[in-house]
Amino acid sequence: MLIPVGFEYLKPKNLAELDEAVRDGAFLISGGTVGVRLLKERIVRPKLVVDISEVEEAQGAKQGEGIVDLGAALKIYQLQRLSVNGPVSDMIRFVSSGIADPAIRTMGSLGGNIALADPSNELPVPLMLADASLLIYGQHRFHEEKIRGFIHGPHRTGLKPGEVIVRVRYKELDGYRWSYKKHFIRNLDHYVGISGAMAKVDSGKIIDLRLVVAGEAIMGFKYLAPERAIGARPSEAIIKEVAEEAVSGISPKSDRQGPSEYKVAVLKKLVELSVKEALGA
Amino acid sequence: MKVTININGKDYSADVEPRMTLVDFIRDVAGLKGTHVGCETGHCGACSVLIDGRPVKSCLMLAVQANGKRITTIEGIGKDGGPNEVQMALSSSKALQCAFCSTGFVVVGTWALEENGELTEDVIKESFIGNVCRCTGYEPIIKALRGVRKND
Ligand SMILES: Cc1cc2nc3c(=O)[nH]c(=O)nc-3n(C[C@H](O)[C@H](O)[C@H](O)COP(=O)(O)OP(=O)(O)OC[C@H]3O[C@@H](n4cnc5c(N)ncnc54)[C@H](O)[C@@H]3O)c2cc1C
Ligand code: FES
Ligand code: FES
Repeated sequence: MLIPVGFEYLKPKNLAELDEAVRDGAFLISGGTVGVRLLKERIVRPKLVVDISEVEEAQGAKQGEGIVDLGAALKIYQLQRLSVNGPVSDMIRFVSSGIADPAIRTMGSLGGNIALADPSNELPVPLMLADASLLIYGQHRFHEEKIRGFIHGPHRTGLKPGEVIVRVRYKELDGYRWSYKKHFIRNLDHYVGISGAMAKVDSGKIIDLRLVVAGEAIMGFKYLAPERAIGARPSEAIIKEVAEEAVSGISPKSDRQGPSEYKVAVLKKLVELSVKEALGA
Repeated sequence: MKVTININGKDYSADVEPRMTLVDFIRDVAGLKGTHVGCETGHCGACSVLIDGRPVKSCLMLAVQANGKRITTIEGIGKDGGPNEVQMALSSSKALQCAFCSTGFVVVGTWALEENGELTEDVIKESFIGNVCRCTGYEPIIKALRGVRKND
C-alpha cells in the first residue's frame, strides 16, 4: 500500500544542503520509525519530506575535557556500542540496549528519540539527569538549549519549524552511581512508568541526588533534585520521601494499561528501586 | 524518483514515488513475496529484512531511504543452496504452523546467530522481542532454536 498522500523527498548531506532543502511545511525524518507511521496515518501531510539521517555535522561521537559530544543522527544500536566513558555514558548504553527491539534500534536515531518527546522515549532520561545541552540548527544559525527546558510536555518541545538537533553534549558525572527502571505490560507498548536516578554519596552522606520520571503514569518527563536528601545518610525514610515527592500531584488516566492508582503505585515502586540502587543503600 | 537497491546480491532499479515503503518495493517491484506485511506499525516483525547485515522493519522505511543500500530478504537467506541452521531448526522441530511470521523469525534469527554465535534462551528472548507469532506460540519456537550454533 502506498502512503495515501504523496510528497517530494530530499536527503541533504550537510547543513548547507539542508538550508536549501527545508522550506515551509517540510517534515523531517531521520530513522523514520515514528515519522513514516505519522505519514501513513495522515497525521502529517507534508508536501516535502527531508531525510536528515546523513547530515554530516550530526554524525559520530567524541569525548574531550570531560565533555561527551554525540551526533544526533547516531542510531540507537550505535549508542549501545558507544566508546566513551563515564557513568552517564554507561547509562546511555544500558538504556539504548533496552529500547524496542533490534530492528527499531537499527533504524531509530538519538535526535528522533529526543525530538518526539513521547513520555515513553527513553534517551531523554539519562540526558536530563546529566543536564545535557542540545546544539540546534535552523535559519542559518546555531543555538544551544538545555534538554531540561527543551521538553515542554508530551510531544511538545522548543523546536521551531525546520530546526534540527545536530549534536547532544553532556559533562560526565564522575563518581556518580546510576540506576534505571521501567515497567511495561506488553512488548513494544508504551511504558507504564520509567525512573532514572543518579547519586553521589561520599563518607556515607548524600552529596547529590537527581531523579527523572517518565512514562504513561506521568504523561511527560519530570526532573527532581530532592534538596532534603542532600547531606543526609541514605535510608529507607529518604527513599520513601523521594518516591512520594515524585508521584505527588499526578493523576494518570485509567485505560487498557490499568487503573490510575495502579500506574501511580508502579511509578512509586520504580522510583524506590532506582533511588535505592543509585544510593547504594 | 530513481532508486537502485541491491537485494540478495542483485540490483533492482526503478522510478518510484517517495511514498512507497521498502516492503512494497521488495514485494511489488522486486517481486520477492517472502517478506510479509502484517501490522504496518513496526510491532509484528513480519516485514523484517536485513540492511547491511542488521535487521530493520521494512514497513517503517521508505524505499527512497534504502536507495543504494544492500538488503537481504528471506529469499537471500540459506547456506550452500539449502536451509541455514535457523531454518533447519525451525522446520525439523515443526516450530511453524501457518508460517506467516516465520520469514521474519528466520531473518532476525539469522542476524542473532551471526551476532552471537549461539542462540541461548536469553539471546532468543531479547532478539525476538519485535516478532509476533499468533499460532505456533513462542515456546515451540524457543525450544526449536535454543542451543543452535553457527557451523562454519
Ligand atoms: C514499535 C516501536 C517501539 C518503540 N519502542 C521504543 C522504546 O522502547 N523506547 C523508546 O525510547 N522509543 C521507542 N520507540 C520510538 C522510536 O523508535 C524512537 O524514539 C526513535 O529513536 C525515533 O527516532 P527516528 O530517527 O526513527 O525518528 P523519526 O521517526 O525519523 O522522527 C520522529 C520525529 O522526530 C523528528 N526528528 C528526528 N530527528 C530529528 C533531529 N535530529 N532534529 C529534530 N527533529 C528530529 C522528526 O521530524 C519527527 O517528527 C518505538 C517505536 C516503535 C515504532
Ligand atoms: S508489518 Fe512491519 S512490523 Fe508488522
Ligand atoms: S506460525 Fe502462524 S503466526 Fe507464527
